[in-house]
Amino acid sequence: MVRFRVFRFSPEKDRKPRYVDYDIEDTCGLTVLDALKLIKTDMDPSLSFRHSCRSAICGSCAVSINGKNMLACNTQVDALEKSRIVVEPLPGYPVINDLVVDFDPFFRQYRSIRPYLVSESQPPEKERIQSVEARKKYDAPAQCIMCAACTTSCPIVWTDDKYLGPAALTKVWRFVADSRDDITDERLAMVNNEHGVWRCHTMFRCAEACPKEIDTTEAIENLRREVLKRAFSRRR
Amino acid sequence: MLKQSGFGYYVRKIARAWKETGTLAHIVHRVTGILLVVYLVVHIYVVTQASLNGEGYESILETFRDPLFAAGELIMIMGGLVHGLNGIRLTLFDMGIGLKHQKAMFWAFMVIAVAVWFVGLAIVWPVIGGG
Repeated sequence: MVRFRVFRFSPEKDRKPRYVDYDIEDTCGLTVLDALKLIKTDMDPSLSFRHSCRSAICGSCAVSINGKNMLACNTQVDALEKSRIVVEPLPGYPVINDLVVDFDPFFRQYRSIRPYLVSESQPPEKERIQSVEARKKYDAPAQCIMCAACTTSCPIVWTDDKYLGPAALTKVWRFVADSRDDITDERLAMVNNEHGVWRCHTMFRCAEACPKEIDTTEAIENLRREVLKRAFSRRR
Repeated sequence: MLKQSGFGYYVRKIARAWKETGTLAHIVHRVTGILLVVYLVVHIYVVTQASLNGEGYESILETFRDPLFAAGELIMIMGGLVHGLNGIRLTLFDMGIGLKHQKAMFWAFMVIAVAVWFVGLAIVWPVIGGG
């Protein structure tokens, strides 16, 4: 038997969050998302949580499981090897209801960095050709599913609401490393400030939280070096 | 909506995650950093006051030969070593070195800190009165 201690907060009823225990007898083959759905259908229909694809692609079901941000859908209950599993909402962002947090701050930062390819050349008739080597440069950051597991695991995000956070910074790196993108200078200027790359304290919490195993800390470090390289080459 | 941010939230959450090496390194770096700043301010203040005192200089410095202060100094040496060496670790990351081995690097630098600390102990030991 596994006991699920689930964070509950209803803005209409509760002033403070509370934890409710739900016991599930047989967890064989269950993911944490399956367990949450089982709790909702069989024990407490009032439980709120986000989910959609159930296959680690949509990034909706990221929650904190035993203090670590993970996707509920690709975390096997038995693989955690715990008789008690604490499920909480992602940290850092305001809780709307139970395990559902407000993603507005996340997407505000994300939109601010122009998260799309900007090319100043005329579009060719077909696609913009890129060599396999050039594509490999941003293979990892292109895997991002925007679940916010990285950004919400970052303690700087908890204290500085202007900080871009690892997800947005990794996305900046994704386009800086893209040979087809033409606004590298503008992108580096966006992150070269106290709420950009220099705010990171290199705790590696973001990279450890990423369900797609993107080294977000490395992306931020790459951006730092790129900012410095440009600054020095301009001085010469 | 229930707020999940701010300084108090940061302290509570960070304290709960101290077993994660990267987070532990951050906590240690912050705490030793604050300690060093406080020490530096007190140190500069006391030495300035003592040197302005003229003849009293020696007698004021004499109080710091007290074993209690020597022990405090050993703590400060450890603080300086830990902070400085972790600072080198962070600088190496900025240079793109060792990002994949951050945990091993933290513990390796801490082993160096302890080793150098024993050299400091050997120097302060006679002052404490141990030999």
